[in-house]
Amino acid sequence: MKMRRYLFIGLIVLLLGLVPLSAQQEPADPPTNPETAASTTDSAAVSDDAVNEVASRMYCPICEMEPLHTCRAQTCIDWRQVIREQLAAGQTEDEIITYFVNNYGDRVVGIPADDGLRLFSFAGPLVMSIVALVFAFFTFQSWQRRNELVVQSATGPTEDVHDNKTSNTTNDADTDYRNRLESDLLH
Amino acid sequence: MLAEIGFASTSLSLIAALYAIGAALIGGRIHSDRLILSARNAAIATFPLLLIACGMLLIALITEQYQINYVRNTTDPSTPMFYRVTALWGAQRGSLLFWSLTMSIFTAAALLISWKNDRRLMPYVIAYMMAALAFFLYLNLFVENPFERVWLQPNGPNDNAVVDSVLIPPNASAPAADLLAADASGLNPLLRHFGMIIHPPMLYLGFVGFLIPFAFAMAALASGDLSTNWIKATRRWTLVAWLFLSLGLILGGRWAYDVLGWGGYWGWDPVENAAFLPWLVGTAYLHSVLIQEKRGMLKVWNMFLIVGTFSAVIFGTFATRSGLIESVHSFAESEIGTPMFLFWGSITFVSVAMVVWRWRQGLLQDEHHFTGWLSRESMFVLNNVIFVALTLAIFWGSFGAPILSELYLEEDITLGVDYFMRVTPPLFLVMYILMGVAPITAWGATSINRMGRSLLVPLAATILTVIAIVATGTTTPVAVVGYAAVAMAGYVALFEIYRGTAARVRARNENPLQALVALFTRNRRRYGGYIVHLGIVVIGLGVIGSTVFQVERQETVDVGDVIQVNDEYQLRYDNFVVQQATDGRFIDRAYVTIIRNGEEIRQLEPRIDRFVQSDNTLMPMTIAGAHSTIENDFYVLLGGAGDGEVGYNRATFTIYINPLVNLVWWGGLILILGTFISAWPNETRSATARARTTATPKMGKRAGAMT
Amino acid sequence: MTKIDGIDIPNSEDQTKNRGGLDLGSIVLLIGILAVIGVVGLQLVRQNESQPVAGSNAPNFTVTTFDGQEFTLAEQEGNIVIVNFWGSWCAPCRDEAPALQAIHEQYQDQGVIMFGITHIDEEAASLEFMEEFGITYPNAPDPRSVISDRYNIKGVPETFVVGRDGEIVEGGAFLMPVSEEQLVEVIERELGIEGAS
Repeated sequence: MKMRRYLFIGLIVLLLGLVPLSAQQEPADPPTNPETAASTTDSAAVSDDAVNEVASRMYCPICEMEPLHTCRAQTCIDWRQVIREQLAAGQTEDEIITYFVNNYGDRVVGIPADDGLRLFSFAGPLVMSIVALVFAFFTFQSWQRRNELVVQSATGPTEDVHDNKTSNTTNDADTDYRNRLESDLLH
Repeated sequence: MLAEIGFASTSLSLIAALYAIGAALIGGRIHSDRLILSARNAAIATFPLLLIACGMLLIALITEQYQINYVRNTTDPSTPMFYRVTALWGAQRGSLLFWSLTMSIFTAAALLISWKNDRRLMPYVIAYMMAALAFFLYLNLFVENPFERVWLQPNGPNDNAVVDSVLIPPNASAPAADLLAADASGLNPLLRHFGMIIHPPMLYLGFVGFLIPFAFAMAALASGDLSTNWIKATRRWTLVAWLFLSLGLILGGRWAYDVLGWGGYWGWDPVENAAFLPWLVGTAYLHSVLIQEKRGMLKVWNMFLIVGTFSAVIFGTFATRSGLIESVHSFAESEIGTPMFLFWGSITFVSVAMVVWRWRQGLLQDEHHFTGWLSRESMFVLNNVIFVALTLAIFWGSFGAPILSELYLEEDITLGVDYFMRVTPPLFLVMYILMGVAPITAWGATSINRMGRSLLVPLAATILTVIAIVATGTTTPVAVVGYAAVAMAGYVALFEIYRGTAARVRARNENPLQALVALFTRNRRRYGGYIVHLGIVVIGLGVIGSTVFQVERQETVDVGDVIQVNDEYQLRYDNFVVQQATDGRFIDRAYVTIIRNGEEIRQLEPRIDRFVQSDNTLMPMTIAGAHSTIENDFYVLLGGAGDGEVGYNRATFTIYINPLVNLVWWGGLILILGTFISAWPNETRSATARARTTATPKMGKRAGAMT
Repeated sequence: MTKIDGIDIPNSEDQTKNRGGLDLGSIVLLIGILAVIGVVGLQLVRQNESQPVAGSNAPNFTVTTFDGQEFTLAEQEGNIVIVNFWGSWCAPCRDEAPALQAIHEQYQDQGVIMFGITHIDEEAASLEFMEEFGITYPNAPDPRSVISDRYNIKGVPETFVVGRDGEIVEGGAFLMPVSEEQLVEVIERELGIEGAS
């Protein structure tokens, strides 16, 4: 019985362990045009893909929640041109984004650049997930406690009632499954 | 004439709804069956009344009654008939009336179906349903009235004031018909798509559908009858609402993918998320009520879940229509925000308070005892945890954090796709893993041995799949882990179906097909559920493929040139023409050929349609050329994002390769099939037959004993 | 309670018998719900916030113009200040620009200050716009749109005529493009010259 509880907790820990794993891996970059033009000086030589790469991290300042690389407003077209010129001048992606954030605020990027706001944004879901898990854990605990209390009073503290529910491993797996199926159907 | 009838009909239905509330509550109090019946009839009567009202608006749209403001704002003389009809829900006012109609249809059906079986709950059910309907009718009549017309009222010797009013003001006359027609704005070309036509009605059906279980839950709380009656009565309603909501979301995604031209189907926009939240809580609720039905546990939690689902529904429609958070979906500014906010706030708070009230009274006690950590109950609780965590996280990202930041941190933030793609994948991953593990647990306790044996085959299949995936070149850890989790959930579902069929074949000597059909017929709920899970698995595969491995290229080329998209694919620009269609729009059409590994696959025709507006400006609409296979979508757009070149000599093309994206749509179809199977009514048995078969527990073989 | 062999066995009901009333958990829950509702309500109110109207105090600001000069609205008491929000990307602003320049040239010696603030505009583009229309009155960029937010700008162009006392004058809040005649009418009235109307 205790084994099962530890296994269960182990399962939870394993699942939680997967969380940082998948959160940290960035998705594979799709194969892009090899020429990212960080060092050319001719703005016509900067590929559309390089511009879109930067623009896809930003949002239209006027349209609300419209990504910059697909926005059709004049301002967005102008901004993409600015990005193109800055790329041609040798600016890195981060430098360009910092420039826009300084002039137009955190709202032009999809994840806030300011550290405090960033923490604020991510803390929410993290805290909520933890609270939800803790809540579930306490629910299990209180169920378990209530159960133990009732069981102990009825049969005395030494007998382990739960073993009765363990399957009889000598049964044919099929029959066992069918029995379980049919007992489920009864409820 | 039409407007007068429509207005009168809507007003009558508000009166009927208010009467129904009063009569139901009083009848319930003094135990007058006659009064309750009268309330029920009044409630049912709202349906034909609203049908007439919507009918009037529809006729007005079809017969071009431009004096009605709504008709002028959503159609113009050149609008095709099909879009005249669908303009009924194309803008705020009409869609609100349509929403009321949907509500009246569902409530009438629910009352008729449940009248015999749930008499004790009826007074409160009627009262709650009609209270919700009355609120929306109030909006229809006093805040956003679709029958409002424009009048000319004398305002001095030679002057006429332009007045908006539903009923004719004194001395007023109607403006000239041709002037009205000239003033008509017509339908936004973006809305001229099959997906857009059907997406709002589906969503409304889904949203409104959840009113039924909510009303029954509230009735259970109010009346004190907190057995599982209210759950059993509303189980199918919940499934139906959930189905429509799922459909609405998938169709919305399909429309965005086809028409909006950014190669994607979900933008994590606040309005999209506002519709997603009820789906998430609703799915948690769907699973959680199973525990209450089977084991009599989690009663309080289920109450909170259904309150949460309906609250999310109202919040969703409030946030969308009031412009609470600006988004690309925003409706025009209106005064609808305040009344909707008050409605949302009050039903949420009052409902939660009622749950707490009954809970503290001790009426929501668990019936069974917790028997094991590795039991289906525990798995379902974990399922709930994940869905609630997802709901809270997405609410925080779309509403909580931006609102708080704007109000208290003096800083506007945008939490966009990047944010949600960091926060939600871990939670979805755990969800899929649970989907794999939970079906093989049993109510009560499960031994490790039993679980292990059930998991063996699916796990082996998953490992083989992972090896196959990695061997064929996919090595991105995120994708492999994702595919593994999703695949295992799918294999578990398939294996359970196989095992059930095999067990029947061995026990009864049926042939496999017979056994399969019988299995599904006798256990619609369980096996329909497995099919739904399979649908979610297929969708998951499509989402991982089209998100992690999407290829995007944009380039401007001369005619005859070839764009190298990636190692395998090229696109050749062949030709360009300018045409004009019969409805007056100009079409810039490019001809391109997909070349894969040197071989020509297909020719596509990405184009730009330019619609002539009522003010003679041109509104462009980009229509992609796409080649769809199971493996991927090869998707081409002409003209960039408004700053590309469009012409014979040089043209800009944006190319997306979306691997596995079609699995998203087909997964949706599987999901629909599964929900149908789950919700399909069982053969109704006479009461005596039912009594006979439920007498002895050993009669479990007769699966009809279980509803 | 049930009795088996003389032993009391508590039922689940007994374990959590409530004395009625609210426990801490319930109170926290209800307060939490109220808090969420309250925040949403506050946001709704804020969304519907109106812009400065005639008679209200013009929100103060301090900016650095494109020429490097500092300008504080509150320090301009005694003068009439016309604050115009514009953007080089905005078509109606182009229609407005010549009128604004003309008014500046006509009234700058009479204590009327024309001041432009750019709204979500790149500096290079703004300067180009000003050169195109021969704008000589001071203009300033608005980094992070702080001033635009203070005036609750919903779009551009918008023009506010601030009187000598720092309040927006009667008829001086233009939430739309403004014509030369309209502005002149307001200015002449403020300057005390009896105009056409």
